[in-house]
Amino acid sequence: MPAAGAPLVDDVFGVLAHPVRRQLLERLAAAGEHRVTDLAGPVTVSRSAVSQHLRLMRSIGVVSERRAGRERYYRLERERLGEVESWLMRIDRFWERGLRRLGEHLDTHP
Amino acid sequence: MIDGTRVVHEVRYPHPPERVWRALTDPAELSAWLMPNDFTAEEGARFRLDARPSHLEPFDCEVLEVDPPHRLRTRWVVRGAPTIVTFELRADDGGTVLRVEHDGLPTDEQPNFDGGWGTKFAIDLRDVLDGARDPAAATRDATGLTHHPAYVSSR
Repeated sequence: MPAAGAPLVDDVFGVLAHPVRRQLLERLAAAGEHRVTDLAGPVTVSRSAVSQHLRLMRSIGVVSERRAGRERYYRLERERLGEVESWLMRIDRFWERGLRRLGEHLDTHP
Repeated sequence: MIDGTRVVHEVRYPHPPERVWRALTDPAELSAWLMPNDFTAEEGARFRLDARPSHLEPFDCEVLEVDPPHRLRTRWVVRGAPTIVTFELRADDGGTVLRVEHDGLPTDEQPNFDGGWGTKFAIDLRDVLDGARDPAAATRDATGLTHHPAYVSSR
């Protein structure tokens, strides 16, 4: 459950915004599947916090879950991470426009 | 252009570096071409960039490095994610080449004790994302890791 006032996470960028989730993604990046115990080990938050983050990451689709008996295994879904491209394109367009406006400003206010 | 997870732009202006520097660091100037702000060019200073209404909240920002008129490095927190914006200026035959690098990836980049910069983790998340965006590399083992419509929400 996101903390009160925390940004709504509805895309990959929101997933990347949290430092614990970035740590989890880096662990998940090692090929194959991972159990929550393996993922929770190196991070400093509780196992239940890790589970919450994984649940959110599953809802966005950057992580998938497989259950085998009582164990749950998590895998990185790399295709979904590729959506960061559209975010970068927006930043790219932002600067293209901004730097053009900077040029116009400089020329009209030397 | 997009270079990995960084957005990089270089442009030449027919104005001296001191003039361009002023446009990057004076709040009234920044308002004119970037967005409303309360910027001060001091390392450690916090400031806000008001991207409303395209964003719900102004961005919380911080000045990381100031080296007039050569280099300005700032952190912009966009949608809760810290991103690094670096301006570099070099004199060019009466004009200025301005290079802007916006690291669009939320970063844990922090100052190290030795004064350098680095990410905290052994595997660089950039490598993970580059692998995700390059279909040919997708099977590679990762251990081999002021006012802008750009931020208009899709909601």
